Amino acid sequence: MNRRMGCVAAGLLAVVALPTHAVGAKGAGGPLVDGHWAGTMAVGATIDFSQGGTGLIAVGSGNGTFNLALAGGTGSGDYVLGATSDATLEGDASTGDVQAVGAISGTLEGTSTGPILQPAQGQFDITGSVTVSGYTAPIEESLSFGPEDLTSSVLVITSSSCTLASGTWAQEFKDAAQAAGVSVSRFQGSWSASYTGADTGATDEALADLDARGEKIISGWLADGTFDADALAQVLVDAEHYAVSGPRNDACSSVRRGDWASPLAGTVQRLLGALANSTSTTAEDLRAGVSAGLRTGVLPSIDDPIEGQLQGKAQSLLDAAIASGSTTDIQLIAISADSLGWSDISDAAATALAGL
Amino acid sequence: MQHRTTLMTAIAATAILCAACGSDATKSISTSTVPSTSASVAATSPATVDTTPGSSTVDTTVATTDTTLTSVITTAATAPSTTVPATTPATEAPTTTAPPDKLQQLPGIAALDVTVGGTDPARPTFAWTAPAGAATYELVVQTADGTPVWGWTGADISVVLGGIDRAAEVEGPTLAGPSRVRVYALDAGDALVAISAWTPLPGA
Repeated sequence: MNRRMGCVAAGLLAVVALPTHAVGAKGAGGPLVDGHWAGTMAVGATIDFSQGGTGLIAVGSGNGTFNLALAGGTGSGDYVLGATSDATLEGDASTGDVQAVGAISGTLEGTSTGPILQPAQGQFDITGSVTVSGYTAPIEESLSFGPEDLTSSVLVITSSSCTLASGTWAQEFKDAAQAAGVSVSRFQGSWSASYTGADTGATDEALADLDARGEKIISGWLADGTFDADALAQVLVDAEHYAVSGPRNDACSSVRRGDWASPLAGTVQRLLGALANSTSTTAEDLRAGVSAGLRTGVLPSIDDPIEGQLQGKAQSLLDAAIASGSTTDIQLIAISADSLGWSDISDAAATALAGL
Repeated sequence: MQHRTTLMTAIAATAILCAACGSDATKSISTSTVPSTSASVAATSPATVDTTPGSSTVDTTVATTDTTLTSVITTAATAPSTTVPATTPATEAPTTTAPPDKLQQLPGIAALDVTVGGTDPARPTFAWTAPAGAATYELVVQTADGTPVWGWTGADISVVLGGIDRAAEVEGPTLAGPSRVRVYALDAGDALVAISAWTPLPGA
């Protein structure tokens, strides 16, 4: 990679190089209690850079850890995110595949209702090759980026209690790419954290495993429409075991025992968003998603459009199922609707079933 | 051309790691587009369920002051009746009959009996007998007025609220007032084979 490429890359990156103040530090899932939180995060992305007859798709993923300290509702701390990416080029006279491996590190800022990941530096090693008209050019370069090149992101809190918190992040990246005219089929992440008390604690490997497994389920769904309901069911069970086995701490002393949070809330919220907005969603997918939403407390949703979107999806699936006379699909939609108290859809499904 | 293509591919691989770079590798992109980001507000954590006594949907009310709650609710789809015999009731509310709803009246769908037990009425254990052909179950807990509280899916025929037994002081889904539970039984092909009535739960 030469200087020209570095300049171009810097230009591309500049579009998402946001100053810290560009990110609003708010969110209603919290606030997180004062003290230390040890967390993990996962992110997945698919971006289409294709032009004309040349296809260029980049697929990436990342996993990281963070330590967040909250004092008087003000956040501080640090994080590191490891990431890999693969870009595949397919054209009439050109092919190529380039991998990038690297890491971004930074600090945590913001507040107890909206901690902010503020990147400080990034380092990436890029390898691969591109063949054009029979000529192959190898690529082996390293790139470094500073805070002016990288985007900050809010840890949006989906659900929190005195011991666990979970949510989403990286929405800013998708917004930035789309604003630049890039086709982004997905670019979002989940995070979860456990309370470690007055001192910084090590990130829990079990928590990281839950995040990674959840991310894998979402990635599979978004990549090819494969919804692994069995894997989802198992990770939900494991998340419940994790929540029960977590250490008690003084942050819970003044909190009712009925307050709770699932470490998978952020992951499930993303999954529900994907299900609600995909044309591939089936009645069985909807049922599995609704069940996961109820199990993790993401449903019913409060001050969030996800439930309304799911309701719209349920109605459209019901219309299709009635048109095709699919008894099982109508039943599954009826169960989802009945579970969530969508009486109109449930009644319509029952009426349709009675008439079959 | 070759150089340009190489640049595009390499930059694409890098861009996704650096948080969504621009759309065209062959041109510099202005920084004029500054995404205005704001934290979207998601649902808050499920708090203790504050239910409203006196459901308009559930006519049957289980009321027992016995801390060892073992109520058996029997509902038949064809002969709608809901009886609530508490095994060791200290007090017992009058038994009323809730008419079956539309789902219970579907032809070919069997009735399912749910047993509510456990030592903690705020975190009850639910059990049922497997109907013929059932492979998996869906269980849903709602407040008495129909607000969803918690859900579960699995092949077992018993589950405690929250999925896992928890010590009393451990946080988790907890009932704080009158609520109700329903179980759906599905066969291996996801067809509905049985359904319970909405079974009342006294809560804490």
